[in-house]
Amino acid sequence: MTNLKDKLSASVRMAKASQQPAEKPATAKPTAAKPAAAAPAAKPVRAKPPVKKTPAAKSQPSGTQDSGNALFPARVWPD
Amino acid sequence: MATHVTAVINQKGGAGKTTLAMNLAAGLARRGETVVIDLDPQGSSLQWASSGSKPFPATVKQIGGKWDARTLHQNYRAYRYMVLDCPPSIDSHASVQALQACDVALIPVLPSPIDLWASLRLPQEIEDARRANANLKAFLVLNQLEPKSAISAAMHDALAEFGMPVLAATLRRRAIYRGAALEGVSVYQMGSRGASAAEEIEAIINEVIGS
Ligand SMILES: Nc1ncnc2c1ncn2[C@@H]1O[C@H](COP(=O)(O)OP(=O)(O)O)[C@@H](O)[C@H]1O
Ligand SMILES: [Mg+2]
Repeated sequence: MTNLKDKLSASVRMAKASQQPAEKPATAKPTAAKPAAAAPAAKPVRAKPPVKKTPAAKSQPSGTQDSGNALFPARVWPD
Repeated sequence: MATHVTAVINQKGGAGKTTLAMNLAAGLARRGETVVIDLDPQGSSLQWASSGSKPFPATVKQIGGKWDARTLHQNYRAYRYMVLDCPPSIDSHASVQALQACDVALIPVLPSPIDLWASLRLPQEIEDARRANANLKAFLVLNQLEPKSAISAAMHDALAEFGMPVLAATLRRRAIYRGAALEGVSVYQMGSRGASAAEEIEAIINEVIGS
């Protein structure tokens, strides 16, 4: 239980660390200045490889999107 | 009195924005005239409200064309409460304006690491929005909580990593939330079967908007 708590919290910290440089460049623009349909391509910083990429690629947040569906059945259907 | 505006927002699809927005609106409608603005092009709220045999307790509208926080307030000032059901993106015009227009932003998150990771940009977006909307309050809301599951129990600690307040009130995973959508009504209109869910929504309203 405690182990799971630590693991979940740690995963969030790790995701935060790996997202921050890409999502929010140092020169953060005011929200209003964002184009209406800001495509990822509009942020040149994103094009760079993630700052921190450890060998454990499978558990990296950047690699999780596709595995998302695996968790869905468990929570979509009633008990 | 100025319209009280709640935005239900998260860039993650399936987090429960529409479910929370619609049931919240139904609860608020018991307190005063309430309008839901369906900002998601998918139009789920609108479809929900128009598919019932009984009328939905809140008015649901879609808006198109050019609009901003100011015109939104102007156009719907007749209502006591407004709930904004946001699209699954935070860069969209609708979401940016919703954060400008609202008094309270509610961010539903599911008890799953993937949903947490996908929501991590929100605290920064809220901060950005506060430059123009200084009094904006924002809360994470745990949705589809399964009290007996270990991961659900671990959520409160993990959410602390967001550096944002988390509502004490949560929504459990209940089939009645889906059933109500199917019937085109809110959990308040589902009789005794919806009572526990309606209590959850009431707890959120009381915690956020005050009684
Ligand atoms: N607390 C809940 N219990 C059970 N099902 C839920 C709950 N919240 C949402 N759902 C279901 O999860 C799915 C996604 O919810 P929805 O409100 O459409 O999310 P979003 O608007 O964020 O995409 C829907 O099928 C909805 O009925
Ligand atoms: Mg929706």
